Amino acid sequence: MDKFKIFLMPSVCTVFGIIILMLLVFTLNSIAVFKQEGFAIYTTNIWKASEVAEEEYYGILAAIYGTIYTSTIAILISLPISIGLAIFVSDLIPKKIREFFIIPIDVMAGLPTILYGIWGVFILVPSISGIIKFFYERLFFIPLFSYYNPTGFSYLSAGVLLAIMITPFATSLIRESYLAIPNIYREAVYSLGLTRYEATKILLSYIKPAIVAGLLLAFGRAVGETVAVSLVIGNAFNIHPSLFAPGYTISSLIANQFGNAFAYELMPSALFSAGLALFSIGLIVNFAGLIILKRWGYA
Amino acid sequence: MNAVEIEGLRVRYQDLEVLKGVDLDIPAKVCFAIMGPSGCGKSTLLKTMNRLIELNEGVKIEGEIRLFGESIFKVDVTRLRREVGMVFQHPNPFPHMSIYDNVAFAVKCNGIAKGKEIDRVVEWALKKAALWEEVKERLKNKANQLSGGQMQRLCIARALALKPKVLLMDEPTANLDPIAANKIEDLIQELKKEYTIVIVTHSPAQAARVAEYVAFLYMGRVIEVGEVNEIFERPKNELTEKYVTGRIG
Repeated sequence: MDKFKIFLMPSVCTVFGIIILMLLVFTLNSIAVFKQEGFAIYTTNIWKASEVAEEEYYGILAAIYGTIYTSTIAILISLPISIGLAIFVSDLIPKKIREFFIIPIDVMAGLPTILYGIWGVFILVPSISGIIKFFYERLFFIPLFSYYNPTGFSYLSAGVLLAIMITPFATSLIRESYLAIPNIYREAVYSLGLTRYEATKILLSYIKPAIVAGLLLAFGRAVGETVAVSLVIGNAFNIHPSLFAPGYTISSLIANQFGNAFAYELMPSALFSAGLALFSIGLIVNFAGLIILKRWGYA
Repeated sequence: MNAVEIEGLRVRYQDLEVLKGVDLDIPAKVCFAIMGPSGCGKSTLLKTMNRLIELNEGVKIEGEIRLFGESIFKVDVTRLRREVGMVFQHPNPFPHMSIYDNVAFAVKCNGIAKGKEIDRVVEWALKKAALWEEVKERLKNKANQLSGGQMQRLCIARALALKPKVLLMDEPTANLDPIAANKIEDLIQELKKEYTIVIVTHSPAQAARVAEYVAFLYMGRVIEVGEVNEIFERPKNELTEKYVTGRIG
């Protein structure tokens, strides 16, 4: 092996080593709860802490459900907005003032998430509860809008908050790849007598892999977001189709419970297994993305 | 009637004046070559004819260009670009689209054809561009699997599918090997029977081979324009003579 390769080895080993070690730690620590409950920790919705180890029972299905539900809401809201914003910034404003639009978006992407959380609790939840009541009173017969006595602490609030948090990030990714489209393709679409809308559609299809990648990274962020979400989601072990129902997410579950976890025998292990679930969701999302890209013939 | 008439055309990028008063008349159904050394403004002139130049920020255009008697600055720009097709220096079919879609999408968007008829237009255009025989078995394949010369003919097909009146070609063979370049030149010989072709080239030899008329552009001005024999055999201007004999360029 040549010297340069050896020189690079420490960085490679560190990164891969950490990933493998983390996976190992999570798996080993989950064993205790797996022994007691088996796979049921992921398929049941019971959270029973007890002084007596035999009576402890943990099932985190509600948190898994809530994680996927809120992240999906966030992506569905964020995707059209971030594509629109990216196109606006790249195509519709003069180059000279582009930076004035880009900088605030990038700053927003980097803000500490607790700021979004506070804003969520004091502004978003109260204002969204009005909207929720409006829809609930008229459309309660649709499962998506039916939840008795909604408070505003809900999947919807968490989803909207997450959307606000990931949109700047997704916008930056999409904008960079949109601006990086070689000029020869821009000229090609416009030389064909297409309207701006049609031309933009073609150009977007050209960067579809980047959009999918941005989407997945944004989803990953949404899945992992902790404090801000736990402030607005209501933290209830609840599985409900309604947007207006309170719920839980895996990361907010871990953050809320770990403080008292060590008072119980099995709870730390249950939280590690929840972490493992989060790990798996991340892996699945990324693999799904790779498969989609491959099917389109990009990767 | 002339296909294109250019009068007193000045084009400026910010502070840089690229075209300094160009007058040209381009007759219909001929191949008209614009030749000149790099940086003389020939690509700018071409891109002004379909107003593609307006994609750049800070471009100022003065003067008049008429397409079959109608000012191009007064018609809808999407209609203008449909009537004035363009082929570029770098073959630029969309790599992520199939060969078929590369021709079909603009046909669909422009409402040239619908449903089954699109297939016919695509086939017609690919035949016109002398590409059909090579790709008819693999229309669904991605366009980036073609060779450079085939990509360029695909771009020609894409432009022809919109039934343009004028076809602009910006050094269409500059990035091709000699055999592929020859095929494109043969194709130009065919196409000029039906279309007005304006080709930009930095090669006087190519201009002599494909064009009936030649304009020599130098530093943003038309130095000399005329029939191809006159320009090459009896150039009136010293600069033109130097250029066609290879002493400047």
